[in-house]
Amino acid sequence: MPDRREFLRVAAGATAGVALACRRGEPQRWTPAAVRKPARSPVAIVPAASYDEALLLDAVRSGLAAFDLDVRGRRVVLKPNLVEFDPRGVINTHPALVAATIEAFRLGGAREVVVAEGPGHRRDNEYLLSASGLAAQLRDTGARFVDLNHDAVRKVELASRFTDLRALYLPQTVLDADLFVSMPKLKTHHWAGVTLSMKNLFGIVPGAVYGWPKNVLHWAGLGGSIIDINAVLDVPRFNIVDGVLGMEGNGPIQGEAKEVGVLVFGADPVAVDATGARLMSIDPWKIDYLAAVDPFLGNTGDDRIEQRAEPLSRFRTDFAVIDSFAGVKVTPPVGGV
Amino acid sequence: MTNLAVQQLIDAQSPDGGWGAYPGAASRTEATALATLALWANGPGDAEDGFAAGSRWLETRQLSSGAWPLADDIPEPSWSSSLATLALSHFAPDSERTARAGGWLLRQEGRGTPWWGKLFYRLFPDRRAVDLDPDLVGWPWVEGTFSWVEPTSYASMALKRLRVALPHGRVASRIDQADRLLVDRACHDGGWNYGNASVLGDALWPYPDTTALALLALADRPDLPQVGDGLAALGRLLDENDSILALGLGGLAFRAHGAPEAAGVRERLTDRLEDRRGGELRALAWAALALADTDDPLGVRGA
Repeated sequence: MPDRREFLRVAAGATAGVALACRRGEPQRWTPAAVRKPARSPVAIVPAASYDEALLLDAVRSGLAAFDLDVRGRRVVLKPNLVEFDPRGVINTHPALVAATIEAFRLGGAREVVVAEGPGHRRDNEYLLSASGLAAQLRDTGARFVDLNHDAVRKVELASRFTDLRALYLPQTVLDADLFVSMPKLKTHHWAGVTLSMKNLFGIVPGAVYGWPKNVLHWAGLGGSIIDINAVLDVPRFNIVDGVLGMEGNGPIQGEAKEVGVLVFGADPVAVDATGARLMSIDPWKIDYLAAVDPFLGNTGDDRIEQRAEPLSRFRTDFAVIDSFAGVKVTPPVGGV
Repeated sequence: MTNLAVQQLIDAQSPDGGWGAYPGAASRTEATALATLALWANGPGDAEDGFAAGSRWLETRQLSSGAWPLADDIPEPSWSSSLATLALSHFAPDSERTARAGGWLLRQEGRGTPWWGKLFYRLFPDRRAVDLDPDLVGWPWVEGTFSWVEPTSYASMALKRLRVALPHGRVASRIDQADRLLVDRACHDGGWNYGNASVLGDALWPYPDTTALALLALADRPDLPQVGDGLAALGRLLDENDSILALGLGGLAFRAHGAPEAAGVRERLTDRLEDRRGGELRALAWAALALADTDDPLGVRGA
């Protein structure tokens, strides 16, 4: 008899019981092209108490300054998490943060800053952009928006084998970016445990090819899909997590707001997401995809993450999770994990 | 008089005769099928050349299996075949290629819940993660995956238009199952989400576009209580949504059910088209269909 968690995955359209960790005797699941793990991964936690625009611009500039990031003359693609109309400001990456990031990269000399997203649930982009407030920010900043669900695509062979997908059509806007910036919200996720920089890349998978809500990825295995997409995206990357207001409980849509008051910055999406998990008092080693990528893609272990700006302990908060993920919480929610 | 949406569609047609997802983008089957159907529904006149070119684009892209790819550079058979089939059911109902398209649609099925999942449902009904009947099968976005409201609605509309031309037993069974699936997936307070009614015990909210599409697929089933609830939900949803997609699909659904709200939505849609700047061409095509002078532009009600 399957256990509840296993059943929940299948009920969501997922393949049952995908074990992501390699077992003894199994062939390695990634090719040399997927190996990007640095010796150490800097991650900066910067306070941001509200979505005040001036405050956010200062915070983003401060966070970017913690890294050797030269964007002069480059085309930067920002990929926020835009899912659903949300008057509480809890589901989506806040539009004010997107606007502040556009401004910060422009001040840094970027040739162009594009905002790109392929919403996974709603197909009515005109409504979604307008109701979320992102359309107004795009108008004010003059930034171009690319609908990744309908962008021109190229078929790319996957660099890892955590699913049976083998290849994916991916948007040219993303594949041709000089710098791709994943901008997720700090949230729990009822199928994946957490949704951060890496899971945010489901939004680059074109809905026109794979449907809504990108159901092919669920069938192929959620954790494995997260890994395969991240492993194949071989463009310069950066990540900025909106943790000003996060979501706990039944995320990524129906959970409750949780104030944290931070932005998290870093080039290594694995280290950024491991830090995000720790901020939520979730053990990243118990999130299957974060544990599985540590040997090749990035750093999950805190001994290889170089904390910059504020210490993690100052902002660590106890996020509620649904019953099926009770086992991923750190108990008690203090100390190093 | 040519409605404003038709004129904007003609202006956005690609040199190859198709339409892209957005103006200037490479042609794709979804937008081309809808735009071609919209031009046909609005009759000849300025649209005649555009219709002929769109029709040729669809004809030359059909695969030998009967399906259509999403676009020239994405050659696999796609969900947008339902929309191309729906278009052909109007302007080439008796053709061999329409029958071939209908045959392909009949062979497509969403992946069902595995046996142990169904057993789990029956043994622990209060622990269901998602609120749905696991025995019902509709149409997926991609072969080998779950059945969803939107692709099921598209396929059901096309098959209802072709039910006389296709093998009776099979088509009747698939249509019946599609109707039951849509009924099963209706939200508790009316209308349709893209998937089902609830996840982990939390009710999901309906969307205007998926609600309108389900109502269009059920245009011949006014007897169902979910249709009345859906129309009421659509009215509430359109009070808060002014997008061209929502107003176009919503107006079309109200017209298909003879609902009095259709006139008001038509007026709002016309106003929105006057200040339209860019946007998705499929939304524009749905708007053009909603504004067509024919009584039942998609023809599902009388099919």
